[in-house]
Amino acid sequence: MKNLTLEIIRLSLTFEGLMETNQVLHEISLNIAPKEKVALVGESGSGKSVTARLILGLLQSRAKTKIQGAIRFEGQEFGWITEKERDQLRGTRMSMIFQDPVSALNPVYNIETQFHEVLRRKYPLITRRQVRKEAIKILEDVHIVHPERVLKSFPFQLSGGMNQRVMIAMGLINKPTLLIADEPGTALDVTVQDQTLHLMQEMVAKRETSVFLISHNLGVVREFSDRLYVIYQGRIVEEGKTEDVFADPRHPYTKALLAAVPGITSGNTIADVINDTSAFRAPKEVH
Amino acid sequence: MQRTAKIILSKPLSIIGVILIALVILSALFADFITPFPSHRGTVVDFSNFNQPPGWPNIMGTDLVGRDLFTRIIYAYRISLILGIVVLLLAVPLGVTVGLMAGYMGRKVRFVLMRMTEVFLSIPPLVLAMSIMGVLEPTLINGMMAVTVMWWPWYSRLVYNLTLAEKEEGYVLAAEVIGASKLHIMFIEILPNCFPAILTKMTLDLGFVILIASSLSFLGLGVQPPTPDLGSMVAEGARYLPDSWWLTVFPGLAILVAVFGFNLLGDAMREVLGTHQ
Repeated sequence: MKNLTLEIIRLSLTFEGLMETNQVLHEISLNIAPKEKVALVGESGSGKSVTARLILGLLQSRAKTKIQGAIRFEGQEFGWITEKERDQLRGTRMSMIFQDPVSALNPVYNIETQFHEVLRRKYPLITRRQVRKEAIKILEDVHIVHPERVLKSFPFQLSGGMNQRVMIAMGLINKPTLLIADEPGTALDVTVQDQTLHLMQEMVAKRETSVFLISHNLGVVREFSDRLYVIYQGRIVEEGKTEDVFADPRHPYTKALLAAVPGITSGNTIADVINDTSAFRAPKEVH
Repeated sequence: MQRTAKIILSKPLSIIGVILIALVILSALFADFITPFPSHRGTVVDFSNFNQPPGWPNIMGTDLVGRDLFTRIIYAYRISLILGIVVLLLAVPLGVTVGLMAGYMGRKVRFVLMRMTEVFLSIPPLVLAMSIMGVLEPTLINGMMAVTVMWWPWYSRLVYNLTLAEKEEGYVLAAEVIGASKLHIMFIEILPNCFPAILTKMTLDLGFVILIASSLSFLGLGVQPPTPDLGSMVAEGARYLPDSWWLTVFPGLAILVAVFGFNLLGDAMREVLGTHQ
């Protein structure tokens, strides 16, 4: 059997407070094959970002966090490997692109230094010269015209779109097998967001990276992903090939979500269906 | 650099601050060359010339054993500056480390460190320093230690608050995602973003450290004679007021100039570094 890049099996997550517990994920299961682009769609608060953080192993060491189920990355189960080994995966085998690229770069260091930091994760002994060479190469790949100038710049000296390209380049420079994109570019304007998607598409195709896209934007998902999962209140309610789900949504929430895409004429909003949420609750069994 | 100069030059008070501090620092550095009687910083006695009002060659008069007051004030500046800088060099790293850890590490670390900080902050600083000096011998080194002990908590609280804000920034999460260690995130990612506020506070504090150290030696708990010290000079002269007014007025003015100068300079720094709080 071919190894899946990522496999999540019946994963539950509960935050324990003093008085109450708050279950944010209810036995969600999903998987991503090599080179596949998979989207997780849902409204804010549905558990999308928390899922990403669990995959990255950022929540596991927190007290008051109860996790059940399994996360397998390239066949390795997170529960079996040590925390150190898990930390080792981050930044080398998996990486992440953020909503707001400007704030995701540290304002006090120039781009070259930040590339150095990222590359050092994989090649601890890399020299400044090699960093420059590698960084210039990948910046050219993301269609930056003057890579040398960009390397010397600080994040606030670059435009949002440039920062986004730098972010993508940094995310991919260590050739990760999985790239997690958490609402990439939503902090930027629509044209830049569109460029970002095309660029990501181009880059991951070249590098054979799997992508886990987290988004609330159905337009983005439709354009970008091969397959999608719909998450609602911590439960996966629908999954399937992107075009199938768009053509024939089964779950009432997916239908509502599709209907809620703001059109120029339609006045439909998601509030129309939220009155009767009981039907959404029915969990969908995903193997 | 140009911008810095422009901001400072646009405000008369900033210019005064820069000039005052430049004078204080330069005179302390070159005390051996600009003072008329360098040997008077020690145990020189010249009874033929004691308690003279300001005149020539003693432009600020002489003290009770005939030493030149101007010479002693300049040397006292040297001691005060050394003391201020050493105190900050000890207190700032300590306070900053505590603040970073309290802000970034988990809840238990925060609880322990911040409660400890608050205990120190709740004791009036001068009382704390006085009790430390009461137990220890009054020497320059012990004076520095006493002031350091009361100074670091202010930095830990400042940096703690800054860290709370900075750790929510995207770049901290980005660093966590690439697997950076806690140490790396605290000192390499967060700390440089706190520098402007820390530097501004340090400039302001240099004046206050000098003031506190002078207060201690005014009470007889600081630097001991014959080492010249502004606070003990004021204390000595206070008995001979108002007749020998120069014994207190000039050291007092010297303290004022240093504290005032560092305050104005601190305000200028705030403008330059853009830390309005």
